[in-house]
Amino acid sequence: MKLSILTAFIAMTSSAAMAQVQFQDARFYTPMKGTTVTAGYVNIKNTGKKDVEVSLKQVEKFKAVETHETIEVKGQMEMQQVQAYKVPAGQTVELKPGGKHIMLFDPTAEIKDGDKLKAVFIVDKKEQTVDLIAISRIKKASEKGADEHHH
Amino acid sequence: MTQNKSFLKALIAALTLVGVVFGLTFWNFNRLPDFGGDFQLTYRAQPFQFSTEAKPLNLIYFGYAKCPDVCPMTLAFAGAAFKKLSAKELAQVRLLFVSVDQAHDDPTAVADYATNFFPDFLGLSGSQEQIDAAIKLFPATYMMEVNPKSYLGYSIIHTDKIFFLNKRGKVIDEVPSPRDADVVLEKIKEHL
Repeated sequence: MKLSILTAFIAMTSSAAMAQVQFQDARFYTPMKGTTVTAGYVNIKNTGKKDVEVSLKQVEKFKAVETHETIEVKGQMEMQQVQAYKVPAGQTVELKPGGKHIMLFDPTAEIKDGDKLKAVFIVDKKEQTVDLIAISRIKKASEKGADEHHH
Repeated sequence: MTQNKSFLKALIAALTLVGVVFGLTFWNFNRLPDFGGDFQLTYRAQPFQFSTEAKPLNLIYFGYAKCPDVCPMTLAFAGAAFKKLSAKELAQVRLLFVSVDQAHDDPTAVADYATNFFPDFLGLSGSQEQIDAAIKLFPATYMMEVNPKSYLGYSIIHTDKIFFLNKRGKVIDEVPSPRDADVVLEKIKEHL
């Protein structure tokens, strides 16, 4: 009886941790010819009262995925691999071009603009599936006020 | 009266001299250092000599095709700028994308990659010596960083800057980390 109450409590707190993290505007750039790598972005909103760690496990149709951050050091652009993004309570961590980003390697099938791929994130050790939408980098750059990182 | 005229002439001459000295100092302080020149690379495995292929205005960017974030962002904004140029303007200007990833970017892939952003962009590769000789002409650097924990196994730290070259390959302007197509477009129009 005690064990089942404890199990139920753990399940409740875990699902509460997942519910408190929302993934917004999840997208990635449609792979282009001449390269096997592309990038994805998302806003990770933590509406809860405790900090959470968010990492990326996999994205369908890609052989591998990683999380990175681009930083500028004396005019040089440097990429640093990160294992997880810490999202403080009540705050949003924004993955965006020129900053924190997802790297997607070696697509295993053709991907077109508008395709939705399942991405599996790990939120405090629990899986959370999010739809990533493929968008055209070229079209995005032509839009005035594109959401690129400004130095 | 004659004394006043002489004084006035001397004053004008002195002010002119001060103006010229001030102007030259200001120009010298603000002008770009003398960078650029001729270089040889390869385009789709064929020799590419800048001096024989140069347009009146040339943009050059050093990066690598497997760069997921910064290179495609800069090139996409440059491509968006080129799309706003007239046919007459396009005949006068071209962008060269030089891959510094000699080990992983083959010439065909680099050439194909560049055309994603604008059909006339030229993706250039070359031997390690050619790439190093070309980048040395510019205030730009790159460094490969090995990362065994990454799927790619490496990343490249590099300058994120578009250089504007005249027909002789001399740097006449630059746009660091462009994050807007209009910034590139304005610079192109300024130099055409």
